[in-house]
Amino acid sequence: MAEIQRSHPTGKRLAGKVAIVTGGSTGIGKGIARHFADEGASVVVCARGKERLEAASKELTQATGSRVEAVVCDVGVEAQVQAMFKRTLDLFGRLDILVNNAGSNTRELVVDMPFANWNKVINSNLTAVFLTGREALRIMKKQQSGRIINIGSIAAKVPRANSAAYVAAKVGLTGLTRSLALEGRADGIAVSQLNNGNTRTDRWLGRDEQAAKEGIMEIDDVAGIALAMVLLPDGVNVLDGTLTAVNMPFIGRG
Amino acid sequence: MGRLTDKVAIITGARSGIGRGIAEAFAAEGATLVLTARTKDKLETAAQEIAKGGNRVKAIVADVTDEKQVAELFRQTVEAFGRVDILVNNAGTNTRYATVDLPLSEWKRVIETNLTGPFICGREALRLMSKQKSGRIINIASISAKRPRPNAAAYVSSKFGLEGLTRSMALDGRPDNVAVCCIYPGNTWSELKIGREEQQHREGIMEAADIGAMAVAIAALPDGVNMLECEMLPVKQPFIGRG
Ligand SMILES: NC(=O)c1ccc[n+]([C@@H]2O[C@H](COP(=O)([O-])OP(=O)(O)OC[C@H]3O[C@@H](n4cnc5c(N)ncnc54)[C@H](OP(=O)(O)O)[C@@H]3O)[C@@H](O)[C@H]2O)c1
Ligand SMILES: NC(=O)c1ccc[n+]([C@@H]2O[C@H](COP(=O)([O-])OP(=O)(O)OC[C@H]3O[C@@H](n4cnc5c(N)ncnc54)[C@H](OP(=O)(O)O)[C@@H]3O)[C@@H](O)[C@H]2O)c1
Repeated sequence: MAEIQRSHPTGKRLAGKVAIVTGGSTGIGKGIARHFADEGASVVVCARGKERLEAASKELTQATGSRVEAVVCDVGVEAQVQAMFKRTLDLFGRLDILVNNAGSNTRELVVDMPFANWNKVINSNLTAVFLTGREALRIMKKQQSGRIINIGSIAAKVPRANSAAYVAAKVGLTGLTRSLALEGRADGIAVSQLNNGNTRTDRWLGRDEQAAKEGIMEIDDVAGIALAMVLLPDGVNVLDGTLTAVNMPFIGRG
Repeated sequence: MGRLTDKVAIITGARSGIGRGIAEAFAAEGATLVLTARTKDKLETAAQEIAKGGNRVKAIVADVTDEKQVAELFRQTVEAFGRVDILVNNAGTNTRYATVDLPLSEWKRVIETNLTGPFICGREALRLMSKQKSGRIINIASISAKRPRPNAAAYVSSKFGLEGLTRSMALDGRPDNVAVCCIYPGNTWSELKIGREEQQHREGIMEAADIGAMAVAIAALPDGVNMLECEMLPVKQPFIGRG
């Protein structure tokens, strides 16, 4: 019988690995970047807002002792995405993990939704993942290895009202995840989608009543599962995960 | 200190394969374990090997399709350890026939083991966990719960059904803070795979330890957080596209 391995929760199980986390300046993305860096990975975090991004990169570098580099990038803009991947290769020479976490939402009924809002939400949540996924696949196919995790939402499974663009983007993301997985398969590239429910980030500021009613998870709960997914051996993939508060109104009819 | 220290877990079908892999992974995180299966000597050997890690491990022989034996399993667990924090419904079986040739007896055997068993065990667990106001049930389904393989109607139906049972137990357990979820593994090395090595090589295969690692990540989530679904499979396994 194989010796039972005791776990090393603060080990360096990602030493030598290089990761990009989009939207890594705050919220879930910053939490995931911290978990990866804690395990010894070199991480590139990106976002549009420079100040908050650079503060995050400094904080995570100090806290973890790993290299966490800030690259300002709007993931909805092709040239900026290409420049970020080039910068990552210049810095670290390879790319093992891409986490597509950046995203945004607007809250209004379809009848009130300006076209600009639709475009903004589709662009940052869906088109962005085509742009980053395309660059990542190009690199990972050469390496014959790599892992992409797309942060979806339970909105990819069941819609909320007042969120048509967001829901369309996240359901669309499932299609993109599956397509990237199919096209990366022959080269051993794992592509997955983690669909989380309510998670306590700045998006929830001022919404305490709703959070209490529906239940809410902490950033570390989501980041911990993302870490478990990237610690799986090459060749093993969590294609689809759904993570919610137990109380979340999601399982039954409504 | 392990991530599951102080947790009491019952794992069905734990003498081999995925159940054994989950038991070893839970043991490495400090859990107290009750392992169950029908074959006494193999079950006891597995329990003794896992207990070498220093955990409290108890082997209790039970057939998950037998209401009385399952009630006794839970009674003995509570008597020994006082509570049940985690139930892993893993025991399962398969049969391979084209539907036109599938005997009713085989249909019944597979449905009873893979679907009725988790109902019987899940009901006992929910009764306890509702009183505790905490607990987690992890059902081991299969990617067959999402898309069928040929010649597997009983298995596929049992696993689609297990997804329905998971959702229903999750809904009924919700007011009492009980989390109920499903892991859907693809090909994994186990006794179910003996004689199918060529197919496994072509399609890719995971180790039971891989399922164990995700089961630990789920079991270690705080109370109130649930990973409702976890579909995991070899990167190369044909499943994502059309076929
Ligand atoms: N929080 C929840 O309850 C929840 C639930 C389900 C799913 N999710 C998903 O989880 C992900 C993260 O959510 P969160 O709550 O952590 O969000 P958040 O706190 O709003 O943070 C979003 C991050 O993405 C960046 N970002 C936004 N648009 C960008 C763009 N076009 N290019 C580059 N970076 C961009 C933001 O920085 P800049 O603004 O500076 O660019 C920020 O770093 C999102 O995909 C979201 O849909 C969240
Ligand atoms: N291996 C795979 O590729 C794969 C893929 C997807 C899903 N799964 C699922 O994973 C689970 C475990 O499968 P495995 O591959 O690890 O199979 P396995 O090696 O054949 O193990 C099955 C276990 O279940 C026990 N068992 C069977 N019937 C039982 C009953 N009526 N009461 C109590 N215990 C019973 C067996 O012990 P006794 O015979 O001693 O009772 C054994 O410990 C099953 O639910 C299976 O459907 C497996």
